[in-house]
Amino acid sequence: MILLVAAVGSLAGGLYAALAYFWGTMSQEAYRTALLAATISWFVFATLWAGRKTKG
Amino acid sequence: MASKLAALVQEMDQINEYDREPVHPSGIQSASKFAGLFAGEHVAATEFVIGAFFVLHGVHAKDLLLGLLIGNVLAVLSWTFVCAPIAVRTRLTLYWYLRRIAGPGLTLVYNVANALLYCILAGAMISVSSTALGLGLGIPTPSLNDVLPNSAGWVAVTLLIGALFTLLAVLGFSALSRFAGVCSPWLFTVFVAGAIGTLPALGVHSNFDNFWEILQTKVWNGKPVEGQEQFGLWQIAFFAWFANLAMHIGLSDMALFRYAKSWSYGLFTSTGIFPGHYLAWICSGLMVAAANREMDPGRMAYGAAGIVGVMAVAIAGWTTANPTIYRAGLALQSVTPNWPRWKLTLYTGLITSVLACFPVFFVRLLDYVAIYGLVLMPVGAVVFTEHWIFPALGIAQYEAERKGLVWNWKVLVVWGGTLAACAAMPLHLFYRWLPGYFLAIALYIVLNLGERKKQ
Repeated sequence: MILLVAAVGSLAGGLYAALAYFWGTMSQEAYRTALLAATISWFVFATLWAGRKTKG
Repeated sequence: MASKLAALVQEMDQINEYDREPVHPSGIQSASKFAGLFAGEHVAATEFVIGAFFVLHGVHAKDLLLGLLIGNVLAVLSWTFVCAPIAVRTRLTLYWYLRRIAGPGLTLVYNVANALLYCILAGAMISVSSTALGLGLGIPTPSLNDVLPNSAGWVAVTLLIGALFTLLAVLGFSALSRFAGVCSPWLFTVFVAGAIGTLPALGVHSNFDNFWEILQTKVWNGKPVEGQEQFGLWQIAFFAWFANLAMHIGLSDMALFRYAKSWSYGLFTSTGIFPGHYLAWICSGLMVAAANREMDPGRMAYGAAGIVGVMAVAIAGWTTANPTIYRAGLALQSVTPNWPRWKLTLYTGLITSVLACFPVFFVRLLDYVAIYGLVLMPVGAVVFTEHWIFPALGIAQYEAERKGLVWNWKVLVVWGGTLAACAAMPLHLFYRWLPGYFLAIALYIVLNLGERKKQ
């Protein structure tokens, strides 16, 4: 469950970064970096979650 | 010749052996499984191109939003009222149902036609991914009028990506399928984040007070780019409707719906259609508008989401081309007796990679999607007629099965005749399938009136 929350939270973080850039509270560079971090985080947590689900 | 055909038919039957029997009641899947299955189904590499093309074709914002709504609702209803009911009543794949109607020889022809169409579609997806790698290497993306490769660099990059995709498809289809499942929510997020990320460049205020005005003047402004015809409401609606024509009206998705408890599970296709064929198309439209209305998926995704956008274009091409290459290989397996699956996937992938070098399939993707659905549509019409209309008219069903026919020439006449009539119709390409569908139904009924049962 924690893995799933972390994975979904990563995507939500990426979306928030895009909104923050749009609102002008984050630079374009920071938005792109945050989206990259969210991507890495998603693939780590979602893959671990999917692996657990498959084994279960 | 006859013995060779019999051998091919036997081979094809063996490939599909697993699906020969109707689904057992214990195999019926739950509603939540169907909702989940379709949720990630329609966010693919081609979404980067299709939504962008609507901008280049000078659609008005209102026409786009309304047209997509109409077309996608019609698509969901086609799954629900045309495809799912037949699948639930027969519990068979289209392959085995068509075999009873058209005969094994014609089913084989259908399989090969399907495979070739799949190869071209996968080729278009490889081309889209190539634009991502080409961006990093400074290789220009082909222009909208290119038919042949525009540079040696483009050919090299496309063949390299095609070879890589093929190799991965050969090494392990199931592992990559699981990876594709992980990618879907991320891809959708990149579409949405990328679209939001383009809003400042388009001049949208942070309180959205000029959002609609920007959409109407800078994105879907009703001005097609040079060389592109203008699209209106009905072109958009029909495109959204037939984007998956082979799956719903063409009945390919009987393979999925035979596991459904009820025909109403067709409504679950909306969980994938609306995010993919509504929201993602809108998002890619915003991206191309912010990229000076230039059709270059790699560049527009980079502008919208940086390196993550480029990754999304490359990975979307990979995860969607892979099952397409696999399906094409599966369909072609029927005509390549005794070939192992890896060898077949390898050759299919190589053919697809060569096709991908020709930008015509990628830059004319909208027309290709229309033709793809159109070619397979008459077969769907034949099966629909056989299933619903023949019993109502007292016409005996399953002529090929009853008479042991290898080829049901009536189906062949309907298929070829309908396509010839569609080719000659003085209508926009996007509209031709609909009158063609009714023509196919009428023609098939007329040809079978002699089979009416004596009262």
